[in-house]
Amino acid sequence: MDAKLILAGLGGQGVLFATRVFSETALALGYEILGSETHGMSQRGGSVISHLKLGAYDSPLVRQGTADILFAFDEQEAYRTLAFLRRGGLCFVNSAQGDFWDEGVARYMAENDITAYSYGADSVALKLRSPRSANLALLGYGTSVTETPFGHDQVRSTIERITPPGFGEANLVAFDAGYRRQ
Amino acid sequence: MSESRQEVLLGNEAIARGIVESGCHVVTSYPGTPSSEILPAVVRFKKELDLDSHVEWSINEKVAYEVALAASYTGKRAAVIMKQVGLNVAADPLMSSAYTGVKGGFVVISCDDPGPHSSQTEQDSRFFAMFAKVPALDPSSPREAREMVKAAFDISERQHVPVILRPTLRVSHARQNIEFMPVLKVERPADFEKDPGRWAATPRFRLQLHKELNEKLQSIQEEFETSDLNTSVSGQDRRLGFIAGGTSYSVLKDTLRELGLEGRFPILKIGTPYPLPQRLVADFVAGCEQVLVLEETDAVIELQILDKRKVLGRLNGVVPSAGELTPEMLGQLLVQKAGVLGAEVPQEIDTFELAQLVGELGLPVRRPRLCPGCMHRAAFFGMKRALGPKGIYPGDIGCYTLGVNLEAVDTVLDMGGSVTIASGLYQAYSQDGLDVPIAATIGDSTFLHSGVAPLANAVYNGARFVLVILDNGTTAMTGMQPTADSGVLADGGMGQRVAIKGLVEACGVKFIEEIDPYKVKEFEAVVKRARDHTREPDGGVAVIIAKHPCVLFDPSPLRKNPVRVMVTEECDGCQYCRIAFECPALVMDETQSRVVVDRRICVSCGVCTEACPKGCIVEAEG
Repeated sequence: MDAKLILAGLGGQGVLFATRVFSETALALGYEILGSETHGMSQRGGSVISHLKLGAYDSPLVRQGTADILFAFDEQEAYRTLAFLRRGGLCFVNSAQGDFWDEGVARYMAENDITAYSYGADSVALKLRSPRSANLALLGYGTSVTETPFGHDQVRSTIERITPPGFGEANLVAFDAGYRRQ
Repeated sequence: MSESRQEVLLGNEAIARGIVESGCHVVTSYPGTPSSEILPAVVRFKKELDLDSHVEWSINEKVAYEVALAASYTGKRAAVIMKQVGLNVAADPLMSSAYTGVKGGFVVISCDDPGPHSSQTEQDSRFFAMFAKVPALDPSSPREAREMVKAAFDISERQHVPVILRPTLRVSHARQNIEFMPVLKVERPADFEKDPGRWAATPRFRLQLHKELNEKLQSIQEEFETSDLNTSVSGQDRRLGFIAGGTSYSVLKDTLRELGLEGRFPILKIGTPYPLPQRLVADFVAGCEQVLVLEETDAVIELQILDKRKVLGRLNGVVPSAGELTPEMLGQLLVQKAGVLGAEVPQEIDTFELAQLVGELGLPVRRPRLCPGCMHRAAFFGMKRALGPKGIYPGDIGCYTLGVNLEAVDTVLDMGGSVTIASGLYQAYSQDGLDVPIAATIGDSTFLHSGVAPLANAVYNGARFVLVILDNGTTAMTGMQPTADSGVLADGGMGQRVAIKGLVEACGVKFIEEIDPYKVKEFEAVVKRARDHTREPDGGVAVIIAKHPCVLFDPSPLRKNPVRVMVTEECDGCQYCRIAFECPALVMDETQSRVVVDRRICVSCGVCTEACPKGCIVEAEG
């Protein structure tokens, strides 16, 4: 299975950690991994876009219009990075508002068979008293959809393995909550 | 290591792995995006493997270059690491050491930044290789970068010449699964053999050395004609061929595959852009009707191709002559070429339509800003309040370049440029009998890198201006590398401190004050006194050392003494604070038409209580 993923959000939202969860899972399963991240000069609050390609690729960058899956940890970043998705692609957006999409953009998605899932990962993580685990709640939600490259158990064991001590429980609880679509 | 081990490594970590696996003895660097992660990874592997190599953060790139070069003089293997503009700083020893040659393998790693994403130029380090007449290798992936480090050491040792490895940002900051290879044990007791005709050559000997260098280059070029650093991919459709190097090659491969054109057109991958293997290239060109050259950032391969009649590239405008060669740009180019050649490509999704739709949404532009609680903001704000909008504010390279958002940075040239630009501005105005307030800002690491000589020059030549050294205790911009002022070494151990204040005193500065800019009123008063000093008959340069740790590096002072702030209901929404102070934690609440504090990112530094002229930002009670 080859897959091209984009993970997008703001500095501080754990985009890079989420990327690491996927790439470490892929490594454990014996995939070839290539990726790249882009971020501006600012350390906090700036856009962060992470490209991840699993399988036989040469370039670490995903070309616009070719990504299979987009994880957006912020609504505005979802708009900014939607162009990466291919026809028939999937996107998961951290949004409390459900169907927040602009009408024209929604039409673009429908015309191109793009399926968008909104999930209020921030509020779920806040309820669990671990606001910084929202990234993993969204990942958990993603793994509940069968078309994503990895299953719940595979990703979960990676999170267990690579989370720094002290955050482990919170990350797993958030991930599971997302998986159960709480 | 007995068992094979794989890790997902950053390109820079893969390069570090290559350095360590080559048995390199001395590694030096000055941090700069996109090169900064290499040296810390060398430290990591050195600790894991218990190696006794010497690893240092040097004061600047020229110093780093020469320290590593001298190790090579003794026969040891050495590497120096920097970003592309760092090579400008190290240009002097690069040019000279090409002539003198080296003894132990000597590899110069200069990371380029097409885009540019975090640099003042898009300059192509391969031109420096050509200028200095030393070979350059251009990796296309982290894995290849690791292998090319090893090849570079071999070439350098065999030909006695420095070798430049030139990764671009998309190699340095890519991630790839990399298998760890065994570490080469290279026994090289230091042995400097005196040879004044080489190591201390006078101009008469230099001519001889230049001839020798030309011969080495010729022999290297011959070696490159058959080197496996250059590879080719066959294709039957010879109406179009590609010559590609570095990241452009990787992007080309993936894009051709996505367009269903894989294997159709022949490709020559060039890993050795200088000196170019001329026969290899000429034979390839001869076999194609047209050849598209894809490389970053400039036309280094293309310029060297002798017969350009079939060549398409940057020189004839087929490829844009500035900016990154992105997958999107290459995709468009290939679709267009395929159309002309009648090759069918799949109909792709029309992202142009989406770009228009998203453009109409008017999403706010997220420009880079200083962090909440950043000491630079406090210093810029106090400085501006003391000297006003008529002042001229030369700035420098670091996080604090973002002082431009606060209109407290008027020029940014290069490392240390704030001090020299301030000197030159003073001389220009004073010549006309004009007294303009000039206040330059420079960070602690940048001051140590290249501020000291400019300051000595300013004092010596009687310039008069205020210099604010923004001392946050670390090299924050590039990821918190230690500075000489902290005394902390690359491996985390303690070395000898080199105090900034002592250096300023030694330059002959008469006015030196150290103060925490969080105390905005006091800081403002110091700036005014400093300005007065520049106007006194026996005055001169006045230096203020604004000292407070970077909030990301050391948040402990904030934890000890948090100042919880709030905006009162009297706020009329004028947004002066948001423009003049620009803290990301002060946000406009449109529903209330006033400014509020974003508690999620506010770090309770309390500095903004000075930022509202109407006194609406106050310390919260209780």
